[in-house]
Amino acid sequence: MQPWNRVNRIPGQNGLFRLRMCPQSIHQRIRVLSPLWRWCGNLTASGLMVLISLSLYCGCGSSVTRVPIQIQVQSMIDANQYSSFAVLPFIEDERSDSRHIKVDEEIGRDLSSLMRIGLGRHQNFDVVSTNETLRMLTGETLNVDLLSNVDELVRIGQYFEVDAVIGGSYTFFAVSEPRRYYGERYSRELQRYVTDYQDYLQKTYVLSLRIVIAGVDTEEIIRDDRYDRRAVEAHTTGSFLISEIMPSGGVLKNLAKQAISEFTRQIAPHHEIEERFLVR
Amino acid sequence: MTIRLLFWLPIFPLVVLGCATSQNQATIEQYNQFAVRSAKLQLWNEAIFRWQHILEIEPQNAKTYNNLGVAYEALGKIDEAIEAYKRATELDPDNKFYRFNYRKCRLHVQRSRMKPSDADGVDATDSSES
Repeated sequence: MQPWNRVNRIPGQNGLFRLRMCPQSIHQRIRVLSPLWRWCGNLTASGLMVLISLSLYCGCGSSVTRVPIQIQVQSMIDANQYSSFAVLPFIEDERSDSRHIKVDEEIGRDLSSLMRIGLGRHQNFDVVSTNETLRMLTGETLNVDLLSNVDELVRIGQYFEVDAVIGGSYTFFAVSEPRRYYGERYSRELQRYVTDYQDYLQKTYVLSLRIVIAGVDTEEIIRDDRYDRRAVEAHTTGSFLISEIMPSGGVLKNLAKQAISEFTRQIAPHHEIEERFLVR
Repeated sequence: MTIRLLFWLPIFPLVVLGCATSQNQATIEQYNQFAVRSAKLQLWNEAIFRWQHILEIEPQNAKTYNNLGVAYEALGKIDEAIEAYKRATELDPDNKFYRFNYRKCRLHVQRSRMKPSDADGVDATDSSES
């Protein structure tokens, strides 16, 4: 029997064996197998300690520390000058092409309500309530041209007795195009994975939200920004047909929430956490 | 014997000078370590005090200027922060961390429109970094 190989059966476990080797034979094997191990074997204990310390120092001893700092982000408008707002119902900017999705007319009011809620959360801002806005706008006809008419916006602002009037329009449409997804499947005939593809319809919803702020005292447009948001859905032919029939107001609201959230962040002074590098 | 003396004679003052410098370096290191620990605990005034002390010992210390910039920015002293970052990048233009901090600070200023003149220097080269 070889001195360095002893095979013992593990009690209670049929078919399992434990290979035991004497330390001397391990050493012999290492010496034969790898010059690196042989080199390691010749290292003294102190040498090993130095190596371990060096590797620990290199691994843990980074010279840079990340620290979070709180920075104040100022409003994109003069928050002291403009602190009270009237938000007009959003108007649908209708497109003539076939991609335009017709949504409920009440959506414009919902979007302006979302805007009021967003702005009303900030203590610096005073926003005219939804009820009061609707009451005061009774009989008024709002259209997209209003957003370019500063005089009209200023007149509405004076009527509401606010510093600025926020108006907006939205365009919602969908673009559908065929796409091909490449993947892999297991072929039984070839006994291996093969490249395969699947055709599907990609439906992209696009919301283009235009928000205009008109200063009442300054009688000018302070900001006129456009926020574009999109959402993508993958459809089979069946689900695509269903999605065409089903109303897509939910998608529009979600996209509008994102856009309005970005707008209110830009308008309201707030704090953000950023990281900076301290060098040790 | 003479040759040995000639060999050791110039080395001796170098060793003495080296010891003095290393003592200064050790003090700076200790101050910096303490300041960084303070900064991690958001004790920015304490950290600023230490870093200012380091600058009294070694006025050309780029990393201290960078760290001071971070502290000033955390306290909302944007003008001082920009000045400190600028000094750090002037002293060590190749350090990516100093440039990163400086760029982020200027972007913040630009976004907030607090002082647009300071943010004009944010160029395309800087923004292409990480």
